[in-house]
Amino acid sequence: MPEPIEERGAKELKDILLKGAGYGIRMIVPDGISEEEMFLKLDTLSAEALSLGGGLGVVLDLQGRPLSRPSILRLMSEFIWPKGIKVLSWTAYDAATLENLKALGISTGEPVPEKRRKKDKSTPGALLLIRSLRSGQRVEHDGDVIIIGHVNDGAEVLAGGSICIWGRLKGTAHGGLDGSGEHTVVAGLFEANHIRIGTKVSASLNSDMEWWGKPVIITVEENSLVVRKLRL
Amino acid sequence: MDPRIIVITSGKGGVGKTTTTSNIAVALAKMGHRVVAVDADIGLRNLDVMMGLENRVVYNFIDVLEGTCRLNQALVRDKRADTLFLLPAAQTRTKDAVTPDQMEQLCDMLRKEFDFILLDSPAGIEGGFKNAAVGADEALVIATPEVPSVRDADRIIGMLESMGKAPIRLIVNRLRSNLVREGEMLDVRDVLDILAIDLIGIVPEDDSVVKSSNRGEPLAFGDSSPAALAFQRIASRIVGEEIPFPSFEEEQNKGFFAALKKFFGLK
Ligand SMILES: Nc1ncnc2c1ncn2[C@@H]1O[C@H](COP(=O)(O)OP(=O)(O)O)[C@@H](O)[C@H]1O
Ligand SMILES: [Mg+2]
Repeated sequence: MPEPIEERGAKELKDILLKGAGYGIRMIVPDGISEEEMFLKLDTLSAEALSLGGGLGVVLDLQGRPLSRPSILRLMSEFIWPKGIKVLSWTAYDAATLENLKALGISTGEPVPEKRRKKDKSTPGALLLIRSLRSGQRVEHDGDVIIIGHVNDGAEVLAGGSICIWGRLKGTAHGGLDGSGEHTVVAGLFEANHIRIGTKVSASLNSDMEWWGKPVIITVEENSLVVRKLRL
Repeated sequence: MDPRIIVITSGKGGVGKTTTTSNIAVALAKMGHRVVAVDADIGLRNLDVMMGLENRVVYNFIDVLEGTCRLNQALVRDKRADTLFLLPAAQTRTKDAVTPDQMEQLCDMLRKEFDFILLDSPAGIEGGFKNAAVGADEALVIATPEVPSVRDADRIIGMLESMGKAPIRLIVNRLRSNLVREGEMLDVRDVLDILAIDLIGIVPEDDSVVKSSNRGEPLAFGDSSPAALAFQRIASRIVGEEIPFPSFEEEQNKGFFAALKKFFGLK
């Protein structure tokens, strides 16, 4: 008679288990192997297995394993750093192990889902681009984007935050992809047919507008887009 | 002199790539340079027709790459100029019939035989453009002074830049000064302002272009029509001569003089 799955898992699991998850890969280190075995097995984890996630994050699940601080450091210096593994967080249910992880400043618990991450106050840095974007070229960045150059007709700039274009804007600029609407789009010379910040999209714009061809600053105020001539 | 491989391309089709390739090839050969015009627009095959050599085509460059014939069997010599050759395209193949590696291989073979290798390529928005351009060192981009043509030229310039071609220079073709004056056509300064690359020539709209391509006799063989002279000036600028832009072009384009000064680095 077959044993219940859980039972069998606990007894027979002697290998490090890699499981796909929403955030990337969960690497489960079974309790049934000794610490030395764990290091050996991690060392022999094939390169293919580790690149399965293609740069995706890994959650290192230590189960109920007791791990000292030096062992944790050894895990980092012999496994995580040399193999270039992007660890999102560590999980453990051994209280002492958890203490040790926290004492080393390691993030513990389940990874924060992407959506909540974006709201996190620690914004990604700005992207500075000293060149023009030609038709068909596209730049996408989570933080602010600064372009010292033109954004030509048919080019696109998508930013989580604000966008500042030193030159002429004829292509598409879409700021505030994080949805907050607190961001700004600035262009040295505005000739774009539409503009978007957060969820606000402008009506079709044209040369009848008084600020057409001039420096502008665009913001969201009281739930609508406001374009102003930029005066310095 | 090191051999120069120049791809002649555009964003849109039908803006004058083949016309330009044939005329510049003729003008450079008339200066005594060894020139081959390669029809890299596979499937369309019209460089041979514009050069009036279609009846003499036996093999094409795919035959060379596949080993069906030797390079010098596929080259068609133009009897009107000693140093001018055509390397025809296959008409029956699709644009992806050659790989980038094969194209580079072909360019390396031609480099040993010629001073100028001119590649008449498909338009950038079509497949096959990258293959045609891969072996080239430099590029000539043809644009007509209309918004869609300029926008597509911008895209192709971006691609050429990312492929590391240099210099990438612009020819404005089919300029009609009356339309510019009426505001129906972009002026050259507008085009340069958008594309931000060096201008190497302006070719006016000229009925003799159509007549000459129908006759299979490129204008640069001796015609003195405005377009013929424009192509000859472009060839001279390609070899590094400082040929001023003639006054008719300047008068035709308000503000054009500024662009011209920019081109010569005067201002
Ligand atoms: N400067 C010009 N004036 C008048 N007609 C032109 C001029 N340049 C090109 N043409 C005409 O435009 C058409 C397309 O030219 P072609 O060289 O075949 O373009 P492409 O090779 O870019 O498709 C041809 O009929 C050609 O004769
Ligand atoms: Mg053609």
